[in-house]
Amino acid sequence: MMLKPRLEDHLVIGKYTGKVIIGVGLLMVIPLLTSIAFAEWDTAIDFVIGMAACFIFGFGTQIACRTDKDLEWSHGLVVASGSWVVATALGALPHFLSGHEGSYLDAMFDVMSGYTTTGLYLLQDLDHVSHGLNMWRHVLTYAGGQGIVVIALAFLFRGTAGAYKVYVGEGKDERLLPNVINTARAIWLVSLVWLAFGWIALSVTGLALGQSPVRAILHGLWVFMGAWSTGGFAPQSYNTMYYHSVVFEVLSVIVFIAGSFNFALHWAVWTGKRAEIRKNIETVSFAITLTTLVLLATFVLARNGVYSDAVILARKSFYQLASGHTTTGFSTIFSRAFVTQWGPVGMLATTIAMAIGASACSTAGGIKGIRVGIIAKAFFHDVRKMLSPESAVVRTKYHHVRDIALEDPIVRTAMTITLAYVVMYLIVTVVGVLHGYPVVEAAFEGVSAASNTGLSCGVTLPSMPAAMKVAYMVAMWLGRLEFMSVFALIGYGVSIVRGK
Amino acid sequence: MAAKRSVEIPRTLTHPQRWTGYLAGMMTEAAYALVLIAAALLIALAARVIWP
Repeated sequence: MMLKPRLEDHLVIGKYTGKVIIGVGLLMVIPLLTSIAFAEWDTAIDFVIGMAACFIFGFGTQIACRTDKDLEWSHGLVVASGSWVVATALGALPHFLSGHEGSYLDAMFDVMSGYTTTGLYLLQDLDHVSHGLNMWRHVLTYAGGQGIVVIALAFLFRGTAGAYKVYVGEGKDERLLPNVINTARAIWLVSLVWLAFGWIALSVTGLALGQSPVRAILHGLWVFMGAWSTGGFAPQSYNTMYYHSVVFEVLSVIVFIAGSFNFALHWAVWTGKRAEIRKNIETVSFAITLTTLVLLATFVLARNGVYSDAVILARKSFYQLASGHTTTGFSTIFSRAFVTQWGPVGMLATTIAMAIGASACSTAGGIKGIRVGIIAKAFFHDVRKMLSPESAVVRTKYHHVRDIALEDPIVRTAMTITLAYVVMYLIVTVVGVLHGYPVVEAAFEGVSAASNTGLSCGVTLPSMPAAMKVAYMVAMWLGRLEFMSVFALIGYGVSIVRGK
Repeated sequence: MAAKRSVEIPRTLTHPQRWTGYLAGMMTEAAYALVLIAAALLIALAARVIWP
């Protein structure tokens, strides 16, 4: 029997959702100050309106939903998924008011893409967007990468017992430190330290490439944010191909690979367990699958004579595949080059890379290396068991910060989530095919959206059917939050209507 | 032992004693990415040898 939520349940969900939205409103201070600094007054007004909307909602719910009740598990999941929807709807205001979006749906698509660190966009005339709006695009992808709930946890929640439940609802289920608030702060520490180094390195490279100091600093910051969050937004429509620089490419690769690491791995490596980088199941799995896919794509591209020399071949092949595998979405080739130059095998390799994705509890999307690693270990475990005498006890372990025994519940959970991703990939592919796109292109673009990657083969355009825009938005949301909290929100909605 | 350990590892995340560890960690992570880049370059060289 489904229980109808009580008034107290609505109040606690409203209260905490409001807190997260206040956090989103506060984030808009950054693009607002950028707009003021560059005398972009129209853009500044757009952000004032956006902030006002967030604060009216946020503080309004604080007043309307006064309660001392703390969060339960189901509340945490509903707050996590619900606040992403509200944050998308309100965060889209500055996008829509800028005049660069074809409709409010397009604006919401771009904001959902930003929060979920996907990187697909429908914004028009990107090369002439104001600094303020460009800053907002990158701030929301950077914030979304850490998790907008993590922001609220780190800075707005005061040590509530329910905080961990919202944190888990956002798809991050590992505690770096015993206290969840300190875990959120450690996540931000790692991100901010990398921000300082990555920003400086990319800005200096931009200066060396001939950019003006202000432009180099802004581009350095934005490309860092796009890379670290594995978001894939870049300030120019040519994405990172705009820079035509091997140094810029290497730096961005280092940042987005580091950005795709599990925060638990970061914390282990940063606190002295440096061997973790070669022992962890996620880094091992990532290295094996990426190198195998690079091998496949590189050999096909070389056989077809697409690139003239080995260095260019390595640069193009590795960059797109590493970007796809980390679910970043940066690209140094034109979108249609996937279709016209890379061909079905190259696109398939990239699609597989995007589908697998990078690490759990990171800024990345996709099935995740840990699940692929666990399933592979389970497969070899079964083979060993079959080949061993009946009386033999076969044990398998995997390493993730510590040695963990491979047990059936772990394998079952990994299989369930993997299956959910595969079904979602199939559904978005079918949606594309039903709208008349070739299956390879529909699969590539659909998997890119659902795995929060953002590489495009030219399907995602403002002229794309509205149903596909909505399907991709739902896929991005489901993929980022890893299903459970979204299902909890749906269940919450159903229980309001049908519960007893 | 527990008391000694709490003295050795500063409690605050931003304590100056922690920063050398943080920087070494960052370098280790960057080295991992560079190894993958080097592997890709070797693969491309091999591909060009097979398909000149």
